Amino acid sequence: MNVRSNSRVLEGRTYGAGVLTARAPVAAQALPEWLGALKSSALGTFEAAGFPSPRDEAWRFTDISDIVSGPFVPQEVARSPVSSGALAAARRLLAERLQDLDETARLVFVDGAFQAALSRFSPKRDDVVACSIDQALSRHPQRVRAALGSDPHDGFQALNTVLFQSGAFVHLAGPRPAEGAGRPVIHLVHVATERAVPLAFHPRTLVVADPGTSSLVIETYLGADGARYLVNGLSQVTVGAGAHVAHVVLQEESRAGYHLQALEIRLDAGARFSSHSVALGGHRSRLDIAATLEQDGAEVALQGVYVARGRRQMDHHTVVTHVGRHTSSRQVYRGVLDDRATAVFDGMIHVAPGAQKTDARQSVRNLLLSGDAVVHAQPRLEINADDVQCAHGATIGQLDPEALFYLQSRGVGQEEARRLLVQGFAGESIQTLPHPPLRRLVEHRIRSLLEAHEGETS
Amino acid sequence: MTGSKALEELASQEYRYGFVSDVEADTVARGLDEDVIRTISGKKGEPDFLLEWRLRAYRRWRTMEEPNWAKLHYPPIDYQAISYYSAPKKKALKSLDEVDPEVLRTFEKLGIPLEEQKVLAGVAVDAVFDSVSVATTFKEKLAEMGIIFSSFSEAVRNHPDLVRKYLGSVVPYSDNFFAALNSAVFSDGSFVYVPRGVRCPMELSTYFRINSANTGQFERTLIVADEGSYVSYLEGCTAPMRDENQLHAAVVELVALKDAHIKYSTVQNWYPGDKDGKGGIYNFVTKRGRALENARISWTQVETGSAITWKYPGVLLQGDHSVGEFYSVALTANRQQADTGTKMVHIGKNTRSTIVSKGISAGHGQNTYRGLVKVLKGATGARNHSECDSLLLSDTSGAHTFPYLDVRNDSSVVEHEASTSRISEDQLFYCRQRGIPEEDAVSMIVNGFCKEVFKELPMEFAVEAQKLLGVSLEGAVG
Repeated sequence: MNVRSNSRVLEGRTYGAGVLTARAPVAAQALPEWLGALKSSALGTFEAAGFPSPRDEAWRFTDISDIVSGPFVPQEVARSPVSSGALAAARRLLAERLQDLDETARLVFVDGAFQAALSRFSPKRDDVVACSIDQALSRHPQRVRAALGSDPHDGFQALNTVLFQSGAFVHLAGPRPAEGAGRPVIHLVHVATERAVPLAFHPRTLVVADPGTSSLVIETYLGADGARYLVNGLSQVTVGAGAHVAHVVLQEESRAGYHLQALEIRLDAGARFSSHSVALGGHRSRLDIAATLEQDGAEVALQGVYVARGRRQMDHHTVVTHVGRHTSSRQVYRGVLDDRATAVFDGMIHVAPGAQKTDARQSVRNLLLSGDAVVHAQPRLEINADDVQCAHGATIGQLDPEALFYLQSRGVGQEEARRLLVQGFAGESIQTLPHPPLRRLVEHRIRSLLEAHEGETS
Repeated sequence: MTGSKALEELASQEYRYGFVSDVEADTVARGLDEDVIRTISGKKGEPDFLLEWRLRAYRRWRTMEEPNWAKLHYPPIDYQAISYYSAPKKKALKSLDEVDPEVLRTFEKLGIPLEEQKVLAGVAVDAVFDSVSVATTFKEKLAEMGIIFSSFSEAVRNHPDLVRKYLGSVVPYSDNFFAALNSAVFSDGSFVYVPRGVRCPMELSTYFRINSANTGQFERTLIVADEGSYVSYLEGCTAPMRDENQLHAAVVELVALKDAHIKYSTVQNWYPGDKDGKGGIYNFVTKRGRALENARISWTQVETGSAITWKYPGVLLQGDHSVGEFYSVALTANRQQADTGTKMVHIGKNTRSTIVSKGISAGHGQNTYRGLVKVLKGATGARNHSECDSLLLSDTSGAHTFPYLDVRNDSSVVEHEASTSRISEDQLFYCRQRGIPEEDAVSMIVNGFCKEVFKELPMEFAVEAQKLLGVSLEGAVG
């Protein structure tokens, strides 16, 4: 589907110039008819909704002017295939940043295109399907169709639907893995290399967990130093009755990279979903999580840690909607802000009428290490049922001078003491990461980020 | 919830203060244009600067749009269908004998012991009947200390320099839609000036009362506490039962100069509308204080009335070491909707703010806390603690919490906590097991829930507030 997609829609247009107004027909010849129709309807939605503006409550603090006016060219319009040089660069980046995490499957996408040569799947197990969306379209079109759902309403998500070319399709089948096979770990790696034209990628990730399954899905985003690009991702996760999905987003985009991602989760009765967001890179990054607990007894746990230095902005927006009865949600976010960084946390707990016995908690804590850093925190509760327990807490503060003094009085240098305390603060969230090899990787990445000097991070 | 019938009966209770007294009123025809503003200003014999200010506000208002971000639903307001001025015809003053006996009887029905208060309670009452002050007591006693406590119109006549200096200095006419409207058409209100170093010996109080049908009330209150002074001000409201919604858009400005302390307490019990939410008061209020160095401003409010409440008393913590406080109990029953909270803006160094908000939702009530804590870059050492708790008493009510924390300084500490729950079965069971009837138990638990706020109220108000809560809750637990 890489080359034959709907390139005519946006022929030769960049975002600012024309996407909004280009009302070109969707060339559907190479796509299944239903997908052409979906993309066409999404284009209508995007044209009607446009890019969010600062007047939209949800986008008040997220500056997307660079994206709207920016020079990002949709990857397919640029028609620049992944060169062997880019592949070599991607290979180097992978070797440097991602050791073997003991995955069941690793799918690698370089500049938006699936790279079978860099991916691996071992050992072969029949309870897991992990492939690129184009492969899945030819093998299981109906499953892909169901997982894609209907046309999203948000501008960026609609844009993803219009423009996505590839992405990952993960299907966890069967109630039990084969004897001896542990919980499958699926790792989806997106690498952006330095290109002459700033590209825009719209990766789509579909995860379908059948009832009773248990799995870990990791999405990693890496960018080569100096690469300037936009990632506008949309991940959709469906968790079947009694299934458990752990999901991790490890965001290490380049210093000039833009990362926007929406993560939508739907949970069936008794399903469990845990999300871990580790945001360490990007010039601007934003993760929107929307989890809907549709049926009784579903559970959601959202954790996140963000370390923003330089002039970065990192946003986390969560909406947890409780619809079923006896559902529970937990949210724990920890942010560290240094230099001139900005962080936004906007977390909503919505309890629908009749969602009795809901138990929802949210906690967000931010550590400001510099007088130029800014935090906007909006923990929100919207409760329409009475037999519920809901609470949120938010704090913004700095390192405890007494703790610093304590360490210093025991011979720990000031820099080291600060780092220890910051690591301890962030550690609360890192400890909850599943999969020990991943946890070690994240710990290492955070440590080296904190040790880097400002010049290296801005 | 079990045994909630009693409470339901309680909540459906009729409005106790629902009656209309017949007083001849001097009312301006409905509608709003520059001529109406000139008429209002003319009737009050205002100086030119004030008329100009009103007109500027009106022109600005015409360019503004009614805000719609609050979680409130009400039919559109036709601002041309409102009469913007109403005053009792007989202008009685000086002594109570000159006051319309009908008005006095109204106050008696309301239980305001105007006569007795002078002697017993030590409270000076500036009773605002509709839009013009009818009687002011204790003025002379206060005047001895140099304290000015008068109606706004009087202040404009007698102290135009003070009014000119401080009017709009905290809430400019361009602040928001309702503040602009108020600035254009405000009828009357209270003015307080406490001179340097004076501690006001009594609690100053105004009872507002909306009377004439279809008369929007646009009070304007300005309180200036000069350096090192202290004043406690009480605002209490009741209103007669009406069929048509009445618009109320007040502005309150507090100025606390260096080392001054202003305590502003409100008990608001306007007509909330009937069981189906018909006929209640729409209350869109802008309240803000400005605290200079080492000054302190506390807002305490108990909101049980009004069909719609839109109100965010705030403090600009401008001076170093200034303190802002906000204590609130908001109760919504039947179809009442409240979107209320506070704004604490930390500007000076080592400024502190405390927010305690208790929301109670019963029936189909919708209760929203919306607050902003903003710490500017220069506000080194700023400290904020917020606590917003909601109690849900029925499965058809809603409780919403929207705090905004905006921090731009790394030496500040901002904390926000919120919880939402209903009265736990365990607590009720515990009480019943000890022979306390369910209704008393609920009332006890609710009062305990609000205790942190009530203890901030002056004595007289605390008693009234507890009673009010009991009355408003009657039958509300479902």
